[in-house]
This record gives sequence, C-alpha cells and structure tokens, in this order.
Amino acid sequence: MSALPDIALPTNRDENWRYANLRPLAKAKSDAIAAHDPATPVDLPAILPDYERWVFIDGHYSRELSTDTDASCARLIGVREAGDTLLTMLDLDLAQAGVDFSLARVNGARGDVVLHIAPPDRAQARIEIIFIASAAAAAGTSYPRVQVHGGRSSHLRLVERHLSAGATDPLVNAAVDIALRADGIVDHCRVQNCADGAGCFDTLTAHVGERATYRLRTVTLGGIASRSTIFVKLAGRAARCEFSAAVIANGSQGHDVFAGIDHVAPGTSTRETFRGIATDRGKLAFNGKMIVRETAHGADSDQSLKSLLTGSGAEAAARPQLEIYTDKVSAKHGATTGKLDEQMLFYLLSRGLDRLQAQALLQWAFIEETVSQVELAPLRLEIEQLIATRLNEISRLEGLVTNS
Amino acid sequence: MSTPEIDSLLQQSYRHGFVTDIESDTLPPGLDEDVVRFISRKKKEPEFLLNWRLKAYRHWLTMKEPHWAKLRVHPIDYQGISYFSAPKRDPNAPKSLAEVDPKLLATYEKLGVPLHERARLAGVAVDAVFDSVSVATTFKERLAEAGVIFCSFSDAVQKHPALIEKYLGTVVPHTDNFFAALNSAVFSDGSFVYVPPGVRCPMELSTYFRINAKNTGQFERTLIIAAPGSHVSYLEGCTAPMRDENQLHAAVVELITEDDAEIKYSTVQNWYPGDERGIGGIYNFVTKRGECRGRNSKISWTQVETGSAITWKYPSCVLKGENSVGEFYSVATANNYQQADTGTKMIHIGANTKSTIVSKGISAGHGQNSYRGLVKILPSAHGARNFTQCDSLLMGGNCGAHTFPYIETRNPSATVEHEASTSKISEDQLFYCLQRGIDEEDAVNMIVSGFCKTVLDVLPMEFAVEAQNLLAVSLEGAVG
Repeated sequence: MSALPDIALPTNRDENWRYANLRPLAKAKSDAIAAHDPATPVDLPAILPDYERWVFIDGHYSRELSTDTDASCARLIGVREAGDTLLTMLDLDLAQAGVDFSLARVNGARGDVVLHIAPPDRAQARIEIIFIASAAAAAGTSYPRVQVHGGRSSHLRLVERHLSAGATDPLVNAAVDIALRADGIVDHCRVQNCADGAGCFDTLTAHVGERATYRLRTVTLGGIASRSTIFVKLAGRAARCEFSAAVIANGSQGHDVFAGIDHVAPGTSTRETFRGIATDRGKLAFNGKMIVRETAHGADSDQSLKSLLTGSGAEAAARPQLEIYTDKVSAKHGATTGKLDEQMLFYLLSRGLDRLQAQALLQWAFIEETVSQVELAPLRLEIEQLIATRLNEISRLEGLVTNS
Repeated sequence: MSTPEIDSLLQQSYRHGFVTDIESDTLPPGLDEDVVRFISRKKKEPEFLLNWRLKAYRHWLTMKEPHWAKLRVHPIDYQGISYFSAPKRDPNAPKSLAEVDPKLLATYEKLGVPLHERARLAGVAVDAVFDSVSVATTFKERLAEAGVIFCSFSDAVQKHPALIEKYLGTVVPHTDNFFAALNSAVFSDGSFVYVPPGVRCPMELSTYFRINAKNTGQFERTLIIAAPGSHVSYLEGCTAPMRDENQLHAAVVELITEDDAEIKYSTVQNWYPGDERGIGGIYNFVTKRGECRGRNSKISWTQVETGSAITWKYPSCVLKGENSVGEFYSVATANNYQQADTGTKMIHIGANTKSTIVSKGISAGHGQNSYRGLVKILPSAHGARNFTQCDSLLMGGNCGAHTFPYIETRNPSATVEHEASTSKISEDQLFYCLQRGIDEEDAVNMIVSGFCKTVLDVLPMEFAVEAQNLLAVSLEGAVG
C-alpha cells in the first residue's frame, strides 16, 4: 500500500505533540499487517469472571482465542459500515480543541475491521478486548479500532488490554470512539503492557449524553514510546467524566498523554487524576486541557497531576490547561513534580526498612491512588501485580506488596 | 449577573485619554535600513550600535509575526507606523525641570505624576519618556553621589558606551523574537540604570512612558544592571491618549543581577485599552527578561496590567547563579474587548534556585485573559524549587479566563508545585458584605482587592495606591 499523502503526521513542532517520542512512527511501515498466526504462543491473562473476551492479533480477530457468543452486543463490522462518526466528530468538535487527530484518520484509512459494541437501552454488558501485537514494526502497523454506542441507561464494563507476543518491536495505532446516550454508563479500563520496544499510539474520543457517566482508568507500563490522545465531549446536561491515569516510565521509555475534556452542556463535571513515576532516563508528559464553553453553566472540573522523578536522567512535563468561557463555573487544578518526601522516607527507615524497600513502598503508595480506582477486583489485583513487577525492576518491592 | 449600575461602572471612561499639543519631530511612516540609520544618526550613536541595529533589522525581515498566543490581533501594518517621534525642543536640551516645556509638565500633572512634588515628597526619581524620547530626569545629583547611573538610554549611549556595548542584548538578544528584533532595530529611547557594587540605591527609580503622537509606535529599551551586592527598585508606568486606531508598543527590558544583587521591577501598565466596543487601544507586545547571573541574586517582577487592547508579555527570570531567586507577581485585568496573554518564564539553571509565581487574572465584559507560564528545571538545577499559584476571577458570562502552564522538570531533586483556580465572585462573600450594610460596588471592590492583595502588597507604596485606583476604575462593581 502506498503512503497517505493527504494525512500529515504530527511532529514535535506541534504544540500538543512536543513531548511525544515520534521516532517509532517515523521508522515503521504504515501498511496494515496481514492476518497471520503469531510465531510465539500467546500467553493470555486469566479470564475475568462474567466477561466475554474478544482477542485481536495485530488488528485481526482471533476466533480461537475469543469467547464471544451470538448473544453478544458486540460484533465485527467493516470500516465502511462503522461509518464516519469518528471522523465527523473529529471535524466538528476537535478542530475547535486545537488538537491534531491525524493518527485516528490514518487508522480510519488503513484499518479494515471495527469491533462495534452497542449495549441496548437499559442493558448491562461486560466485555474484555485484548489487542496483541506480535509482528515487528518492519512488517507494518496494527490498527485496532473499537466503536461503542451505549443505549439509554445501559451500563457497559469494558476492559481493553494491549499486550505483546514475543520480543518484537511492534507499532500499534489504535482508535476507540464512544458515544453514550442519556443515563448510560461506561466503565472503561485500559491496560497497556506491550513489549519494551513497542510504539503504542492511540486516539480515544467520547461523546457523553445527558446524565451519562464515562469512567476511564488507564495504566501505561509498556512500550519504548507511547502516546494517548484522549478527547471527551460532555455534550448532555449533567454528563460526567472521571479519568485516572497511572504511568510508569522506566529505562528510556517515554509516555505522553493528551487529555482534552470539553464541557459543553450545563452541570457537566470532570475529575482527572494523573500519577506518573519516571525512573532512570524515563520521560513523562501529561497535557490536560479543560474547556468550559459559554453554555456549560455550573460546570465543575478538577485536575490533579503528580509526577515522581527517581532517576538521575528522569524528566516530567505537565500542562494542566484551563480554557473557560463562562463565569458560572468552578475549575481548579494542581500539579506537582518532585522527588520522594524525605520525611516519609525517614519514617520508614526509622521503622527498620532499608532504603530501597522504603523508596519502593512510597512509590507504590504514590501510584496506588489511581490504581485503587479500578473497581473490578480481579483486574485491580492483576494491575497491582504488574506495577509491583515494574517497580521491582527498579527497586525492591518484594515481600512488601502481597496479593491482598 | 450584571445590573445596569454595574454596567455603568464598567463603562467608566479612560482617565488618561488626552492629547498634549506639543510640536514633535516625527519621521514619516515606513521602515527600511535608512530609517534605522536615521534613528541611529539622530541619536549620534557609535558605530557598534548602528551595526547591532542593522543586524537586528535584517534578522527581523526573516522572521514571522508570532500567532501562538490566545489573541485575536488585527493585522499590523509595520510600514504604516512612524518609527521616530520626538517632542521638538531647543538645541539646548533642558538642564533642569524649570526648563522643560510647561505643557509637558502639565501633561504629567494630568497623569497624576507631578514630577516636582511627587519626586521630592516621595523620594522618587523620575525619567519621563514621552513618545520615544526621554524628557527630563530628576535627582541625578543625589544618585550620582551614590554612584548610581540613572539616565535615558540615549544619554547612556553617549556617556557610558562601554557599559552599553558590554550588556546590551546579552539577556534579550536581537534574534530573540519578532517584536524584540523589531525593537532592537528601531528603539529610540528608554532608561538605563547601573548600580555599582555594594550600593543600595538611595531612592526608588521611576519612569513614565507615554505615547502621544498619532500613528507612532513606541519602542523603548530599558537596561538595568545591578553589580555585586547592590540593590535597586525600579517603577514603570505607562499611559497613552485615546485614539480609534491601534498603536503598537514593543518594548524590551533587560535586567542583570550579579552576586548578592537584587532588582525589584514594578510596572503599572495603563495604556489606552480601546473603547467599550473594542475600537482603538494599544497593542502591547513586550519582552521583559532578567538574568540572575550571580550567586544569591534576586529579580522580582511585579506588574499590574489594566490597560492595552492587547497585552503580550512574559517577564521572565533566568536563574543561573546558585541560590538565586526569581519572583513574579501579577494582576491582569481584561474588560470590554481587551485581551491579555501574559505570564512568566522561570528557567532554573543554577543549584538551589527558587522561584515564586503568583498570578491573578480578572476578566469582565468580553475580556479574554490568559495566564501562560513556563517553569523549566534544567538537569544542573539540583534542589531547585518553584511554587506557582494562578487564580482567575470571572465577572459576567461573556468573558474568558484561560490558563496555559508548562512545567518541565529535568532534575529529580527539584520540587515544583502548581495550583490554579477559576471562579466567579463568591456569592457567600458578597452576601456577607451586603448584609453588613456595605453597598454592592464597595463589596465587589473589597473582594477584588482581597483577591489581588498578595500582589498589591509587594508593590512599592506609591504604585500600590495607583494600582488600587486603576483596578477600581476598570472593574469595580462588576459582579459575576
């Protein structure tokens, strides 16, 4: 397939992309990877109780590994059938947000199947999606895409995982678009734990209707470079968004998150929490943009962004932005960057812990604030294990964090 | 919710909108190398300065006007501006205040800056820059006794060319940004201060800038150097007459502090903001930067920005010296159709450097007020510390308040804290005041004063009073 001349890829000169590591994008082939069986056997996590599982390998549905049934509210559709809802929304709203969504456009142009999830009115659904990247970036890019249309008063619990099979350096360009009707709820938990050499790029848009709630919990651990571009439009009266992100950048990893929340309707509210740890030469960036339009009377937004730097070459960049166009609003944010608190460290040392253990425990406590918001207990436990393993690579958490 | 009384208060007229009828020596509009040479020749400048101006001009030609700020700017016709306008005077320049054109002195009376009395009573030395040329300075003798050089930039070029050559453009190079490059090419005057080692300047230094002539821009340049162990406090005020076209003001201020030195720089900016329909007003594109070169040095910026149709201004500190300190205290108001995109940059390079940012933005009418700030901790800045607080107050449903902080940390031993809030005037506070018998305007005035108190408290007293009045005129009574 040829290059896409009409879609200009983002560069670091673009204000909202200046902290992202875009080298993997530049190096990779933009062609979609053809369907194939992975060279290494895929090690899947334990099945979550009551969840149906959809597995995709390099963007292609794997019937053997999936557990979906005919009764499922999810089905596979073609890109054409998925329509241009995402692209229309990008054109209408996102241009105003001043954000470059070219990667989602590339996904739309290159991908071929879309997982369409449409829980009907008042229905409950539990779906786990696992995207496995197995082919190296030299072979092409995988383009996973999910579309959610939540009915009135429906409740969808969605778990989205990004994993790697084998030690390749894949490139993933994922796109998720969510539309939620009145009183609907989506609990969305995303865990990205790809191989260390992976490039993980994704775009997520959500359109939240009246009194509907969108909860997004993300955990970013893997990949040499990752970038999440998130845009949520609180379009209906009293729509609500809760977003928490836990990010660990180890070695020379670089993780970048852009989150724009657009408050359009009256009484909309947002809670945003970011906790990031950068060790060694790890780089973290979080750009949170809250927009409150003239029409969003009584909007309420709160951002809390904290970064912890523990390595000599670690870096963090935080941009908690506010754009407010009405006076009937309450908006606040707090951002801190720093090292571990010396007093807390001293306290633990005085209780007999050695320095590495004390540091690890404090790092654990720091990031736990976001992880604890994952409501599904088995998943939370699994995430805690993953984080403990990550932190263990840098310090000694062994024996301090148990499977409680 | 706005009431008719509040609207009438918001529509109070601009106090400084008069034109002084003084003959001026003005270049025709347009900019080319000849204009740059003319300005340099007119000011009898040494060759190094002319060459520097020409380099800046040539570089400016290669640059594009910046549009990243959250501002809507009508296109500026740089060839439609006159780049030099000097009040005409006798070949023998005034040697004392008595010799200054009485009309000019009357202008300052109207401005509320009576040079004689204010200077004598308050111990303030004033260097008044009218359009682009320095008119008179006071207290030169007393300052000379202390060894402090305080004069117009043109005088400094004549009398202390070595100092100018050594320091000019070392903090804000001529290539820095579009407006700084333009200023470097065509600046006509400004102030120069040198405080010698170990000297605490015996009085506060003050400059008043005023644009008077039509179709002129003002491009002043200020350079303040505090030698090791010295201290100086500098005050700057600005006004302009009412005109229905936009006038350009593109100034550059450079501050340098050596070991253990301190500069406190305060500004009350009250350029003409345009009328209530957003017609006219000054485009204020200013580059202000200070460099703490020495150990334990300190630079403190305090600004009250109530005027200008557009404000584009980021007074910054480059903290190079160990233990150096940068401070930024700001109150910015945007009423009617005013737009302000202002903030600061704190670049931490030296170990144990500290910075504090307190920014208060007030928006009313259709005003748009943005705080844009960068806190950058470089790998060498061990133990660096920053605290930032930026609060916005909104009055009315048509205004906007925006916050664009950039926090970049590249040293794990640094601690950076940032907090911000945006809200309207608290109904509870207002209700409390009203039920104590305080009328609505006074109550709002009181709440706004309280909101800005942290900043007003650090202004020198003479300016604190003026700033308080300015805030009252531009915003009093606007209830959100």
